Amino acid sequence: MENSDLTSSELLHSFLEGELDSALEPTLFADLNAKSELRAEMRDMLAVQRAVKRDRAALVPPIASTAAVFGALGMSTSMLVNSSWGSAIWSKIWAPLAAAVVSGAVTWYAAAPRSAEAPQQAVQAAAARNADPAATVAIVHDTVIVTKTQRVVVREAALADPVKSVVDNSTGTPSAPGTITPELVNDMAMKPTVAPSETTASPKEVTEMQAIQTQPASIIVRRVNPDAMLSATEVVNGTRELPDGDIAPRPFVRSFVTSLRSINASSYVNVSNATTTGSGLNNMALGIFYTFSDWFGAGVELGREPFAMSFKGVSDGTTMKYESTQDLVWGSVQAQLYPFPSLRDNGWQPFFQFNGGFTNYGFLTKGLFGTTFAPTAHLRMMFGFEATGLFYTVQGTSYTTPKLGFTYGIGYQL
Amino acid sequence: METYSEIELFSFIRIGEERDRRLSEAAFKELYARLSPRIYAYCRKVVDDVDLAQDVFQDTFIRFYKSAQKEREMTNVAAYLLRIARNLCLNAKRDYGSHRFVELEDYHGALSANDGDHRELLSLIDKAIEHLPFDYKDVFVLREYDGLSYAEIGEIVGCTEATAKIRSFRAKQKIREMLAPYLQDLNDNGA
Repeated sequence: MENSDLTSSELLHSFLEGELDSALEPTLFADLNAKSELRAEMRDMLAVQRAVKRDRAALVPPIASTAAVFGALGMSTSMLVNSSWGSAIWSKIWAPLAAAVVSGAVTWYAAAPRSAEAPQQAVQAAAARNADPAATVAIVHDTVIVTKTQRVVVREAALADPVKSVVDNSTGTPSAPGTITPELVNDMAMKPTVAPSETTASPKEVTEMQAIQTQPASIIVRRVNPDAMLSATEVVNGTRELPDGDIAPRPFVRSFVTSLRSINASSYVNVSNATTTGSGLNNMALGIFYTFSDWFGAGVELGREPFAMSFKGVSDGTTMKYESTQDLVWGSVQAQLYPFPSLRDNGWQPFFQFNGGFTNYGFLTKGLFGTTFAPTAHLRMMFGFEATGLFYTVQGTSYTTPKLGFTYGIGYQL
Repeated sequence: METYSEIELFSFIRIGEERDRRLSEAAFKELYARLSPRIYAYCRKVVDDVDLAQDVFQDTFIRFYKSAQKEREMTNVAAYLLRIARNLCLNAKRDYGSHRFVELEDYHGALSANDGDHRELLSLIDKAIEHLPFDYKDVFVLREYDGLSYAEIGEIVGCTEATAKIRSFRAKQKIREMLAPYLQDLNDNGA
């Protein structure tokens, strides 16, 4: 194509490629002014150019193809980490990794001293509560277990002190015949050496000559709920059967909990292409946290989920609107609050969770409200609602991608 | 290795094979890191089947490495790689038949049947490229995706610079024709 005998379209084509002779530019501009069809053609060509430019940037050889090439040539791919696209991969994951490492270190620092001191403190506390020289205290899996002998004395057998029907080892104080001290009730209710029904049916029967086997009982020292204590006293007085589980609340135990949950949330940003590359690991989050008290826990969580993103930028002097849905890996620090600790006795634990972390695009925050249910001592099932905000900046302008949805998963108390 | 030119890296591959294979590997890896996106883009756009495109891409670099081990004068490594890729694409076209290289007449039917007006411009362009005649597609991809000059395209394709320029122009015109309804909507909506 010689510039001198070009049609208007050919002039435009050369102009858009930056190859038009400057002497011919006035001719092109005059045509553009006069012909609306030529202006439409220019808009179309610019749109195509922009799309091709975006497409070109997205075309990267798959890792499998790279591995196949190097495998066929008997080379390893390790040195490619220093290459430009190796750096690109690293630039995408360093922020989540760093967030996870830092938050993990903080959690460990906060948790480790408590773990080391807890058993000793618990032993001292248990010993104070159970001033019984015969009592022994053991720690098994962070649970304080006090073993002591519960002596039930039959009148005829207790000749040395016939008025005393029951001796409480923890105090050494004799109680009136037929009465049972609250501490004793609690201990018996935990793991009675004499079945409650036998005890409550007719306390006076104890005065008869009976061979009652007494043996050491392992009981768990736990915070005593006064209401439960009252309930237990009623039972002992023979008004009704002892319902299991009403005696004392489920104990709080400091522990690590791992969680794996699925995220079903939608981005509230309109983009024309909502599809992502997809992955079996998408829309998942893996976390570990430590429960510091019956109302607070903290830890780290890593996840991967898609975010719709729409922003504008200037490229080569042209303002372009970008729309995409990116699968982003995120790492975060999480805090959990348990507003109704008493519900734990029934296995339920409502919670609020707050996450703060990073993706390779920017800051990410999450807020969850939900509940866990513990069908067994270690297993937890979780369901909740989740709100997420992704905050990122492009060429000095800030953008947000909000997401709303629900989440469900499982946890395991270590 | 980042500081060496592509021609120097190419010569290191041969020298490394004779003296120290680590030099050869390092040079090849650097060239791969620099040029593989362009070669991959060419293969993906010219061969419509993704799996076949990946096979061609892999084969291109394997052949490139083997040929680089021999004594050879090199002036443009990227063009050399693209020439290997193009030959392999043509072989694939011959071996796998024309169903992977759909004719232009089929385009409008495929568009209306499968895509509708709302599909993103990028995927429409992708489909339009698929339906270009091979000569146009070849030049369009080398120009737009690989950023070659018309002189370089002429060398690779085996035509004059002016012919390459005309093919590129006609390829764009055809793409515009195929996308006309969508582009009209796009312009009407002011996007």
